[in-house]
Amino acid sequence: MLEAVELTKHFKQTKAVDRVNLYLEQGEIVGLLGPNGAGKSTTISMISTLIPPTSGDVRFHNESIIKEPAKLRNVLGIVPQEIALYSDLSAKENLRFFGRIHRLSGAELNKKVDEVLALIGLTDRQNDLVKHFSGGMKRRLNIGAALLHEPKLLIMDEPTVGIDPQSRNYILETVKRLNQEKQMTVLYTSHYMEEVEFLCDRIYIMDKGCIIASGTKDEIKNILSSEHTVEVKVEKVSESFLHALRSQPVIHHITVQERTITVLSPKEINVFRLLFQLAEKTNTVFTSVEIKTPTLEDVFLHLTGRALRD
Amino acid sequence: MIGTFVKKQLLLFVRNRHELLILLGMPFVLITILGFALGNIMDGNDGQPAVHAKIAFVNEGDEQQDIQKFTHEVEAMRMPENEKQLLIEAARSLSPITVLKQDVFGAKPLKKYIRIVDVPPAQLNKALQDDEYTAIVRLPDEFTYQMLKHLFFQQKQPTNLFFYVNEEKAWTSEIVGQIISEFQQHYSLVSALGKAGVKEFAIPDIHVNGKIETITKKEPIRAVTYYMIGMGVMFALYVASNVGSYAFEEKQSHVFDRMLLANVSKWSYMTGIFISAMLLSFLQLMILYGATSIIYGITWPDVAAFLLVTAALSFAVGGLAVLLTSLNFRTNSEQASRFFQTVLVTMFSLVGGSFFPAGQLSNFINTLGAFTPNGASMSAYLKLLQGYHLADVAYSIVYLCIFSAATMVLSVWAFPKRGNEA
Ligand SMILES: Nc1ncnc2c1ncn2[C@@H]1O[C@H](COP(=O)(O)OP(=O)(O)O)[C@@H](O)[C@H]1O
Ligand SMILES: [Mg+2]
Repeated sequence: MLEAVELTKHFKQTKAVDRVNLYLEQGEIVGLLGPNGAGKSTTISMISTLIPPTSGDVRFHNESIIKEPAKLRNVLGIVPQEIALYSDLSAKENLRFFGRIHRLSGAELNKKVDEVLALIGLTDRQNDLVKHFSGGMKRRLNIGAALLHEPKLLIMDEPTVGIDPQSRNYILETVKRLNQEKQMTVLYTSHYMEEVEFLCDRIYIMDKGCIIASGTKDEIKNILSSEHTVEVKVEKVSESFLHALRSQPVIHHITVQERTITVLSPKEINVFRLLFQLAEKTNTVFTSVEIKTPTLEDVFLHLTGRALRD
Repeated sequence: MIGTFVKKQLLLFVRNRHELLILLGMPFVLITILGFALGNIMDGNDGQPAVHAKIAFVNEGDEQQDIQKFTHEVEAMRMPENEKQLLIEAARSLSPITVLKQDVFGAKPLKKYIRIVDVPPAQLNKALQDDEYTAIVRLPDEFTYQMLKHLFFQQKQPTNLFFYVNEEKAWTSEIVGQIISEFQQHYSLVSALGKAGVKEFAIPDIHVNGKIETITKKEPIRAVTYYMIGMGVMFALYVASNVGSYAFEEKQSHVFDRMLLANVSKWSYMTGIFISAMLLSFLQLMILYGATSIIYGITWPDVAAFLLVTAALSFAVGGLAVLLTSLNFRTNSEQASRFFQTVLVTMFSLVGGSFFPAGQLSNFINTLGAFTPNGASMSAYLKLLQGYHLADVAYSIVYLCIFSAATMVLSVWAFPKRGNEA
């Protein structure tokens, strides 16, 4: 349906996006996962015809949309990373305005606005000014404004940044419903791997302008099939234990979070025995040791040596 | 589509109390403050001169010689000696030119803003073409002699004094005209004669002939009226920068991206900006002029012409708003709006005469002011308030429309091709 081919964008010195290839099939939810500054928003802006690529192409039903953006725009709904709303207008006035610029009017406009208000759960607050809304409500309205013209393809740029867990779940459920009930194709951008894991059929992982991994959840996690992720909880994190860990070449990607230490190691190593030996030597007491199913976070860690969130 | 944009813009303005206060409340307060401050100056109290009128006196004769001639004639007459002496005494103290120059134009409340320049007769034509002079008073040869003869012996035709008015300086020349006509109504002469103790002589009219182009039946502009116009045209400019800033906010918050994605053309967008700004400034001016006129009892002689000038000014404000929007989009910053709001509006208002009739300081400023949309509309409004008609301000209206068209052409040129590029 939609395809990006060797998509590249340079801003003066920065290579924001570097030869990105991705595609979307009808009815899929595809995730674009990456840390801040990875180039997700820039990629999305090019795909949604808002900025021209330095090189490469975006193809919609096999036709380039760089010169002829109107066709794609008609079926496209964009949820920008920013709150793109009028804060001095009410929720309803905002939706009516965005409905009208999509050439809706009269009874049809009223019906769509009511439908969207119900979908995003703002029917009760429709007459309140946006500036009095909570972060979560603004985010919901930001999504609602992209749905009035019933887009076939919804592109969402970090739609859950900085909101409470309840609003976040509401948004995630809404996206799932739109996909299931209206067969909407969704490109979902986030730096929260749980969201992408929960929603998406296929995932692209992006870092420093490049796609570094892609595939279904399981395919991506299989990147880690040769490694175990082991989580050790200790009574007290000691420098000597960490030092001992670091000196073991078979143990890598050591991260410490409070009293939890996570390490990666090849499957063929008996990592348990090694860990207990090191603990014995450094007088470290374990409270639990566990082999974890790898997360996308772990994959990212494995691929880049850095955590997804900083 | 454009209606949607305009409706949205009006709604945003109404919701923004701070903006309303600046665009409507502030000018009203300033009109009141400045109107009364200047009112005092005009009443002859202290402060800086508010009006500068330069008047050329072209004296083709010689007052002393004329008085001498009259004295000789009286001495040669057959009448009682004491009566002769009385007449000669009266003639001396009458000196009408000196009275006009010193006692009338030089009177204390007027002295502050009227300057008299003696111009030799040979330079009359040059003076007539010089825009610096508000008025020119030409006193023909033997003016004093003939006037004395006329006053005391009812001989000769009444003396002609020529009075030329500079139409460019309608307001001040009107004041000067009024003074001359008071002179004509022998206010000053009576007192001069009274001083000389010649009450027993009949005092005829001095007919002021010539090209009096002022409209003597018209009222001079009150300070409060002047500032109603001055502040009105100044604050109309703020509508342009405000609308430009709103538009940039739309770009900044990516609302403009939503419009692009809805396939809204940049033409519709810019037209929306233009009409919004035009409507807003029209409403603003109507409310401001309406309220001020009612509260301070100002009447507009020609309402249709007033509406036309207001529409033309709003037109220019619309053009400015689109231009500022384009420049903001192009520079991807609010700089254009900010610069306009902080620097240009002040400069425009200064040379356009919003604070005082700056055009009368120099020709250069006068010309500069006439090119600003506020200056052009201000002079048109003032003329209308003095009783001029639509035809007299038509060129200002045309200029404002040309200004508007020029800004629109510039904005189309300056607007980024895709609209959203940095
Ligand atoms: N308009 C721009 N001008 C210059 N640099 C930009 C611009 N937009 C983005 N960048 C740079 O491109 C990189 C990718 O940014 P972005 O696409 O916003 O990442 P993400 O959405 O993944 O956080 C960053 O280094 C950012 O600073
Ligand atoms: Mg981003």
